[in-house]
Amino acid sequence: MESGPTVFVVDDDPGVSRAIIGLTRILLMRVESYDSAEAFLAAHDTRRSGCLVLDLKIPGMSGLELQTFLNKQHTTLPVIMISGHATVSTTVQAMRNGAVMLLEKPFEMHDLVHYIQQGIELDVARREFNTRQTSARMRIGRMTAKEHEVFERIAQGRSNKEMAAELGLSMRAIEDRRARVMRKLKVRTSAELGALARDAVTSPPMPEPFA
Amino acid sequence: MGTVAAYQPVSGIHAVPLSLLIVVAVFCFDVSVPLGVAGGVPYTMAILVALHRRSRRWVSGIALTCGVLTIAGFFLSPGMGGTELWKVITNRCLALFAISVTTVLGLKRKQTEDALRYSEAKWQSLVRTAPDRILIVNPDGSVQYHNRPRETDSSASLASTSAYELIAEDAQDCLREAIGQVVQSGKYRSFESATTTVDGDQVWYSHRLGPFRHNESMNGVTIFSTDITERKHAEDVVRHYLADLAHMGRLHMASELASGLAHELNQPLAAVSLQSEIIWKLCTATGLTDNTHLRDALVEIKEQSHRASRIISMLRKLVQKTEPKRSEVDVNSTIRRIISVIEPHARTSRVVLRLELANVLPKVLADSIQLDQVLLNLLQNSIDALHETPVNYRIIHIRTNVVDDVITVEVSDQGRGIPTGILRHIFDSFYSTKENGLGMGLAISRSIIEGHGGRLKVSSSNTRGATFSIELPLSAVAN
Repeated sequence: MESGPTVFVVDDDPGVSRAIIGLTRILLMRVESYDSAEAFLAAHDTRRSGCLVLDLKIPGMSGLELQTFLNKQHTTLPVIMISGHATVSTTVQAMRNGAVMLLEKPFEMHDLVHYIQQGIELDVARREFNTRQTSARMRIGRMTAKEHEVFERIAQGRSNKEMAAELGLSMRAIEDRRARVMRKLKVRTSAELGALARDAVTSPPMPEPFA
Repeated sequence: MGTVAAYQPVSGIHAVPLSLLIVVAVFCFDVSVPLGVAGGVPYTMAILVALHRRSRRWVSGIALTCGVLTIAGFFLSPGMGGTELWKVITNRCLALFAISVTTVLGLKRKQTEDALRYSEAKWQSLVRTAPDRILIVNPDGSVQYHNRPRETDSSASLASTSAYELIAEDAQDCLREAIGQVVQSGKYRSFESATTTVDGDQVWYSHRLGPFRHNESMNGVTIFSTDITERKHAEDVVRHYLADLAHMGRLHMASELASGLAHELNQPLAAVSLQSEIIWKLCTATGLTDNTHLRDALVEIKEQSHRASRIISMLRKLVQKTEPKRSEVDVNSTIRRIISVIEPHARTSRVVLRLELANVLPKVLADSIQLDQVLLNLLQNSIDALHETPVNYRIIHIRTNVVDDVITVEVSDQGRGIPTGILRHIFDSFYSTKENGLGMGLAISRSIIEGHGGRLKVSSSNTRGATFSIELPLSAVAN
């Protein structure tokens, strides 16, 4: 597994591909280019971070189709769409699918650079979030049903007294169970527990226009 | 009309009493004059008179009476005038012979006359019932016969009327020329003419001319003039409709061309613009930023490539598809209309069009002319694809159905099919397998259907047949 973010370029036009490669090289970014969606998918390793610069109109599987496919795979890779001529409907579709931006060719270099950086940051954020969510879900999953009752109530901000009344237990039993929950979830305070509960259910970060 | 009048049995009613009178007179003469010979011959006169009566029974009856009276005269005449018996008998027989010959010949002629009268009546009925104007004119254009005479016309006034006044007021030269040609060559001629009525409406006539020969001499020219205004109007409607289609086709073509051009040119322009910025980046990295000439040149490259791109996008806007005129469209009736337009073409190519339309089809919001264009294009392609197929297999099926709020129209043929290599590019602009094809038809069709929020798909086997299907959502969302 290679380290560091990579800019993946999928465009069938060699001129545009070469220009983007040249640009990313002088920015000292790692770059890889493919001339079709199929070639990209064949070589792609989802563990690799970075962002995807994707042409809308490529032979075979189209840009929109690749984007939809990646969304279904739950990859974190943010997509920057580029297009020679985009219609309103394809633009709307691309943005709805969660593209960072759709750039019309010819675009300004600093725009592309800006969105590539934004994409890479988003990928990092998404990966961090995924790690947090996975670990939170794993820890929550380890609890017993009874501990889960208490966990849910702590997350909702109930006091021990309220919980004791609701669950028909003694204060002592509630305190015990609470301590066990905190230990299993590896959290120290109720606030940390609340954050963990949120991490388990919220959806991953989206590009800015939709954040 | 004079010839017809001659056949009217003017004396028909009086013929029987007159002939009976003659019979009585001849009989009286026969029995009162003791000639003994030839008394029966004048009876033929009575038969000739009786022939004026229409009924044949009367003629036969009188002839029989005459015969009987001739024989009776033999016995009743006073003496025999001293003539020998054999001479008298011979004479009576000759009289009987004369009577029978007259009767037979007379009846025969009567039969011929009847046939002629029947044929005349038939002919009269035909020409008077015909919706067309029928004239027989002399080579100089004066009228011999007209099937729609005005009340005031007599045969004399008809003869002084000219065909040029009656028909083809606005096309007298054409008519004169056509009459001349028919008289000269004896062949048929036809032409069309238009006149404007007092109300300002245009009325079209089709004229057909043929020779009128009698006894191997040219007696004139027969003219049939048919009012074809309605047909002309129908043709006009079709022509306008086709012109509309062609116009839409050209608009789409231009729009598709500009779109393709924009896509193709924006690629190198993007590369040029990016590369110029990369050079600037490299200059910055190597400390060449002080060189204003270099910087200006690079800025210029970038600016100019953006300018080129703007020109292209202006061109695209200029020929952009006009907003489609959406209305509620019944796809089945659209198909029927298109079938009626393409049917003649299909027939010439010996292609059979089979409709399998859904009984009930909800209406779809669409631009009807654009839909027409797509259907026409698909049908045209199918007909072309069937060119080398055996005649028995030249069938195109057109099916419609609706499933889950999507209307599907299928056009399928059993033609030569589409090879896989071609199938992938079949909707691409400028891609054609036809010798003089532009390769825009299917590209335009797909963009129209997608503009309606639908899809245009194709399936085909390598060897046999292709099916194009149009899918139109009922809740069509335009872009």
